Amino acid sequence: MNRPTVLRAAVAIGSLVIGVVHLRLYLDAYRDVPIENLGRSFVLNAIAATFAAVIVLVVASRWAILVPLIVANATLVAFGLSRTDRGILGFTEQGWRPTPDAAVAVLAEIVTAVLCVMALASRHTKNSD
Amino acid sequence: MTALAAIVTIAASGFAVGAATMSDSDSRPDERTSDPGPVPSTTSSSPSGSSVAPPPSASDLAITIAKFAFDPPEISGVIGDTVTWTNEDDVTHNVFTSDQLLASADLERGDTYSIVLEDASVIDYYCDIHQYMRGSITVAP
Repeated sequence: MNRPTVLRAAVAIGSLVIGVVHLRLYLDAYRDVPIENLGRSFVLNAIAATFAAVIVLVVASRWAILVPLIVANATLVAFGLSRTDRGILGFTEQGWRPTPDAAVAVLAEIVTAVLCVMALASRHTKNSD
Repeated sequence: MTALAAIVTIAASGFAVGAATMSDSDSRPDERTSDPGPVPSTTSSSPSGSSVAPPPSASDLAITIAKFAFDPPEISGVIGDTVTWTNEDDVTHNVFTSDQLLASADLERGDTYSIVLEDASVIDYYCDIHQYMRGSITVAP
C-alpha cells in the first residue's frame, strides 16, 4: 500500500475509535444525563465519526479527508467546552473523567486530526509536483 | 496552498480550544483532607438493604446518586441523623460543598459516603465532577 492509502486507513481507524468510545459512553451512562440533547449528541458523534471513516475510505477526493478532520476537531472542542464552567448544552464535567474513555477519545481525536493534515499535505505536495 | 493553510488553521483551532479549556479542569478546590463539620465516612460497599421502614425518629437518611442526579434532591433531617449517599451510576460522582464541609472521595458504582448531621442549617451540596448536580439538606435542631 502506498502512503496516502495507509494514511486514509489510519484516519478511518481513528474516526471509528472516536465513534465507538462515544457510542459506548452513551450506552453505559450518558443517555441518562437529564439534559436535553446531551445524550443524543453522543449518538450523533458516533454516527458522524462512522460516516467520516466510510467517506475517507470510499471517496478518493481530497475533500473527503476534511470530513474526519472536522469531526475530530468538533469533538475535541466539545470536550474542551464541557470542561469549562459554562459547559456544553449545560453539561459540565471535570478532569479526565470518565476514565479511561475521556483520554482515549481525546487521543484518538488528536491523532486523527494530525493524520488528516498529513494526508492532505501529502496530496497537496503530490498535486504540486 | 491557500486551501492547505485553511485546513491547518481548522486543525490548529481545534487543538487550541481543547487545550485552552482543559486548563480550567483542575481549578476546582481539590483539598479534600480538610476537617468537615459533619462526621463523614466513605465505604466501597453498599449499605445493608433493609426493607423495613425506619421509625419517624430514625437517624438514617438515604440519598441515591443515579442518572446524573441526587434522589431525592432535597431532604430534611435533625441533628444526629446519618445521611448516606450511594452511587448507583456507572460513572464516578462525589459529594461536595463549597466550604468543604462535605468532601467525599470519588464514589464509584456501589460506593457510599455518610455524614452525621451536627448543626441546624441548610447544606447545599453538589457533585464536584458534574457541578450541575445539586442537592440540599435542611437540618432542624
